[in-house]
Amino acid sequence: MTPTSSTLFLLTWSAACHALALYIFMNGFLLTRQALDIRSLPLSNPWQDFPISNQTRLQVDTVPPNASSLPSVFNTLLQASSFSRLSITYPTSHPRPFQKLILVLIDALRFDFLLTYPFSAATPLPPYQNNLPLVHQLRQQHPTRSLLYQYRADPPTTTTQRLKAILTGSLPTFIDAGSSFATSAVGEDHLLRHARDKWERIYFFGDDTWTHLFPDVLSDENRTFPYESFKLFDLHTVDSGVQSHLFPLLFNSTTTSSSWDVIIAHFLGVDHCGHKYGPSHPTMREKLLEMNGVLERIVGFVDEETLLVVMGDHGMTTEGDHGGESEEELMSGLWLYSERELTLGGFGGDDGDDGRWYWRDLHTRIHSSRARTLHYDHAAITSRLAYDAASPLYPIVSQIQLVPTLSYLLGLPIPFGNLGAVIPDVVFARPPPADSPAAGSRLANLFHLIETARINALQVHTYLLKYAAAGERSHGFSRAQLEPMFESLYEAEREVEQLADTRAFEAWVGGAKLDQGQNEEMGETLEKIFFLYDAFLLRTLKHCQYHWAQFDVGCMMSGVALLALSVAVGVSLFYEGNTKGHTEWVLKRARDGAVVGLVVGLAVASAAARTVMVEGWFEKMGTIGWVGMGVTGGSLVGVLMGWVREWAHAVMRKVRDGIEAPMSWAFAGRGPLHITLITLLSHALTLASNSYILFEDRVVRFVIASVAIYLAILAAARAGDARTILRDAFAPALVFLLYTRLTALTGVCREEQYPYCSYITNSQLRLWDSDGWTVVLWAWFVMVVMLGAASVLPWYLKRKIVGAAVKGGKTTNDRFFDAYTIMLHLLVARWIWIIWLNSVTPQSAVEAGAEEEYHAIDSETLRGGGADVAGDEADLAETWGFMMANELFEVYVPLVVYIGGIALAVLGAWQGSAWDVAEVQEAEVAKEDVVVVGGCENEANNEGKVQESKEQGVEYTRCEAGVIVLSRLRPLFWIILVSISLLLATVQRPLGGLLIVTFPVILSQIIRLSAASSSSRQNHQTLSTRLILLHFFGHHLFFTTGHQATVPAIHWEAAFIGFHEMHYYTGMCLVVAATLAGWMISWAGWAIVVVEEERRKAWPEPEMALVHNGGVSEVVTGMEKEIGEVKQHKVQDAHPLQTLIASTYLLILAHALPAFFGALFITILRRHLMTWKIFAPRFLLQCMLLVGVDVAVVAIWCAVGVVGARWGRDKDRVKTR
Amino acid sequence: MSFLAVSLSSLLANAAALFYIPSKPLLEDPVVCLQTTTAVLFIANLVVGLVRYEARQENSSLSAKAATVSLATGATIAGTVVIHTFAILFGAPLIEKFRNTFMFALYVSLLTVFPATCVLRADPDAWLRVFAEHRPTSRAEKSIYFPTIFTIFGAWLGAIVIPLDWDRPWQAWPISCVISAFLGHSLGLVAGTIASYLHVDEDSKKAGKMRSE
Repeated sequence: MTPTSSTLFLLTWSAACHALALYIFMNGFLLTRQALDIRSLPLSNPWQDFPISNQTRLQVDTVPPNASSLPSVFNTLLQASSFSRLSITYPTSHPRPFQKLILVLIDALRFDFLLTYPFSAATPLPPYQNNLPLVHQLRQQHPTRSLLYQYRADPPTTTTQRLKAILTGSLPTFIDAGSSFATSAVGEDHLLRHARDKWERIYFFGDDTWTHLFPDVLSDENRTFPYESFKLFDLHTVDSGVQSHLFPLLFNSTTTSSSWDVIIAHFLGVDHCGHKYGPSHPTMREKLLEMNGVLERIVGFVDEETLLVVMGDHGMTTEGDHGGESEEELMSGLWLYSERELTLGGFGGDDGDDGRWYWRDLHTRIHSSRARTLHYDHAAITSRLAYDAASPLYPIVSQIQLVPTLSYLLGLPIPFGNLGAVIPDVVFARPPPADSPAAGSRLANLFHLIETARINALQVHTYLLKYAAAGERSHGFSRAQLEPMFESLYEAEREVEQLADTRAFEAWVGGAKLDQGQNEEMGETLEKIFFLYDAFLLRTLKHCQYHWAQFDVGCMMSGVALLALSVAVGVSLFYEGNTKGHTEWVLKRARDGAVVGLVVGLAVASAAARTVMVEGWFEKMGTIGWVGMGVTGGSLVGVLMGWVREWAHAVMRKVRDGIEAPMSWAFAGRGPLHITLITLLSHALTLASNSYILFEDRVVRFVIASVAIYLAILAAARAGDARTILRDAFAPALVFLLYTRLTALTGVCREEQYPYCSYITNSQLRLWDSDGWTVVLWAWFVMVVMLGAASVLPWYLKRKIVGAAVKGGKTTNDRFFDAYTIMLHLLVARWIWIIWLNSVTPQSAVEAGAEEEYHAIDSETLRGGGADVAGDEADLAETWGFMMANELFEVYVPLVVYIGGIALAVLGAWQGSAWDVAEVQEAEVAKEDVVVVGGCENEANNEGKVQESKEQGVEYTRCEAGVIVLSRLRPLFWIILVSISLLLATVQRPLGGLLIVTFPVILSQIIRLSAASSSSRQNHQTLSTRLILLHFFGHHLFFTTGHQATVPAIHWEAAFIGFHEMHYYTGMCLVVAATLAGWMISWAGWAIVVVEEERRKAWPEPEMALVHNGGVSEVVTGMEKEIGEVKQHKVQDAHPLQTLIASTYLLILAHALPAFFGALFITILRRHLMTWKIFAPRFLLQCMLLVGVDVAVVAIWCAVGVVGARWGRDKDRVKTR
Repeated sequence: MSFLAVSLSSLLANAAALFYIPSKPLLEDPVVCLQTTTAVLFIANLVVGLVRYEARQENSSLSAKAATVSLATGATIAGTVVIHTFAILFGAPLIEKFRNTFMFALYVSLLTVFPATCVLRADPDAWLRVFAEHRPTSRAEKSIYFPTIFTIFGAWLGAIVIPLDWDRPWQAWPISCVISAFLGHSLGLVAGTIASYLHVDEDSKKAGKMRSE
């Protein structure tokens, strides 16, 4: 095996290890729930599909049986049904649904804020209590018109997740598979959708999260008034804005008939007050009293047809924050109010009415049964929040129970994906006559209750069946796993069937009076049936909670362990990887280990899997997981064990015989190597902190500055005199840092960074007529730089790559640079077009993309002022010139650059190694008699002298992929870099594109940093540090090209660049390329830094060469210094590509290390409140990077192999000639 | 003995100037606080500079002292500009908080450049040997080498806490860096004192003899 191909094998193996480790980790980590965007339909009657058993309804879509073929029981049931007697549009609903809804959401309204405690002078109340007296007051006055609940959220307690749950009735997951990543919109059936079907006039005021989540409903800008939710320290803007729109609407509707159907008002003041001051601050009292005033005014507009819902979406901790799962955060309040009776039970009044007592008791029993099943810990809540959580006055309901309840009360179908069970208190067909609490009406109401429960159960059943049928990824939702849950549903249906068959029931349906005994018996049966339906709903909920919100810690830990092993191997490769022969050795070890691992993996998968599998552990592993883990783990452990043994032997020999280890494991004198590793490690450790991830753009800049200064100090220590220090040590570092700092002015802020963030964004760039002259200035500056780059770059790069001395006539490289120039000009023209377009577009029209959202200032003025300009723009957009230009720059220019760039890369790479690179030739000629790396005679480099070196045939073949290829690799890598910079720049926004295209210039600065020292050997020691600087510079480019590690910051528009319509996979590639552009270009530059370094080393300055001629070891890589000194033959055997190989390991390590730590931290912090917002997106980015870098190095080494092979063939041809 | 006295007095002066003398506490208004601090430090530095080197022959004349002190003042101003630039390169805001950055730079410059210039004066070789090659050779050089290096390292390290979301007043720029520079300086003084006590070479032996005479 040639060194190139064995390296390629090793890289592929390591890539496979990473991929498998990530696969296993992701299996355990990603909570996958299919979001089924299916709209639920109103049922034809509550007994549709009766009776459900495990034989029926295998196919959900079957046509309901004909009425004629229905069993008689079904007819009886239909007769009994309270629905069938009322002919209204939606037959499956409340007998008298509410016509209007006012939904008031007070963000972070913790439950105890709603309570009114008896006043006592001795213990002063905290500022958050007794400030919403209205609720208590109305409950006292009309106990049956007002219902109060403890409203329990499912973590995470963030507003977005809560709103989703409140309106869809489902549970939260990070990635709802199947939903579109591009929008934050809810991709499932939700209540507002059904409300929209029924009502036209839906008004919304408040937190703009709503308009992001439900753009399909809340899009009418005359009825929707969103406010930014991220200005955490502003207590009043949103609230006063809501009030300024809400009350005029309400007042106007009294004079005219009614101008609204649904009003949604979301107040943020309480939440912001909590974040700013915490709950125990006097401001909280003011804010809550303000809310009380708002509610008092709203209550005045509530009539018999209006339902008022007041609720919080989550609570707050004692510090006033939320997002996690403490009791303080989970418990918010829900209060329903109307002018009509809302319940048959109800507390508050003290009439000893028998009927009320019965319902009260029944409701309490239902609630406590639910609390028991769902494990609500009343004692814990009481101890944390100091109210009696077990009190029947305000039972605990889950947030998702509101959806079916509202559906019922408003007469709407229950949203398709709902998992909640209807709140029983509000379910009744007709109020009992005031004079005689007739038992008959009790039965009717009970029957109505089980009908409602059945509708609910039917919807959940349908959902489960559809869900089971929908996805292969739906773990835990196979028919077999669902069947046990259905048991209680089947039983309920059977009970109903039996009941409907009894004579007493038929008599009751017929209107006959039943006697006391029959009455009670039937009441008991109906209750029992209700509880069976309810049990089904609760079991379903628990099942889903378990499967969707459960990480598979076993899988996660296995993935982390595999990553840890591969990082350990990576570190040892980094330290040892440039010693000759190790590649084959590692591969052999890996192969042996893999065989053992395969056997173990198979054994575990087949036999032990079931015993290892405990609750939630290794459930999602699967056979592939076990086998993959066995193979990967086995091979990694095999390699590590080999190393440990070698090291142990070396130590033993050293101790026993005093013989220096043949392998270099002396750590002394490797300062820069350790610094490299420490830098990487420190950065990887910052992934444990949400703050560092939030401000990673700044962290990276700090790291870059630190590393650059470190390099400068190192160089200064060797420089000798002040001029050299300034010129060689600090000047390149300063230029590099100035460039970094200047480019750091652009980027995009992530929402959490406000208010500590202000970047110049692309959308701000305007050539005239802007809010600030600085931005105009910037735009012109950027334009000038672009034009300058377009004219200077080709010349500069040509000089850099080919050298100044170019012979006359058009050569291959001339044509290459001509093509490059043309494409560069096209790109610059496109960017200037975009900036111009931006300048003629009114600011309000630019609303797409994450970065602009937070800059939209005063929406009122923008809307007013933007209208005329928008009109102008519409006119402009219709002119044919505009359309042509748009077409040209949006589609054809990028397309030309794509094709041209790829062609350049391929053709250039193919021919580039044959370039007449003046410098190389000169160097080759000049250093004829210098012994170069790896014991290859330099003569071998020179094709003209091949004949003379015939006798060195063996040596020659061994070196063919070595020095020669190395010198030929340089143009290859430059060509790849330049072509890729064009391709990557195309998918960027103008500023980012400019940065990408000028990257080769800054790369040469990094190379110059290496020139800082007078000794090339010392230079070589810092090679790894310089490479790591390049790595972080790639990271910096990620931010400056307008990216952040969040989903909203992804440049989705990149998918359309160069195409009329989006092609799925192409689009995906373009978006990935746009996101990872910074790193990808740094990977391309990576090889160049190494090759330039090797070139300097291979052709040192004449006076240095003399020194090097004497001691071979001196010339060889600094990393090999120790080996060189101890065993010279080792050095002579070392392959000339070893430095490139070693630096490739470093590149992989640079991404594997953060991936490992990211996985480790996210396993530890998987229940952290910022997991999904901060840690998970960052980790996913890291995974993409790891996979990306693995692909990239394999590709690079393929190219190296191809070039090597081609040169081998050329040599053969020369030889035979 | 004089090194101990100098170290002790500059430590105390620094602590007093930073935490006790200013009318506004550092945490409340770093800019106003540092204005007082730097003024006090400047005076203290002048005094220390004059006291410290009078044992050396060439510094004994008043004009030489005045020249050294004015050189140190000039170097401190230049150092402030350089440190300010580097603070910005490391990520300090460009325009807003300009005064904070400037006061930080001035503070660090007073802790490092001023005493260093008092010792090394305008001798580029000495500067290179001490700070580029890290080879301080005399007691005086060691006594400024360690505080300088430690101060700069501390000022660098202090930035690490800034992004954390702990909402502590000392996380505001440049308070954490000022405090850690102060801590670094104090530590450096201790290290420098120890190093100059352990220091044995011809120079110091001679100096010791001269002192004992």
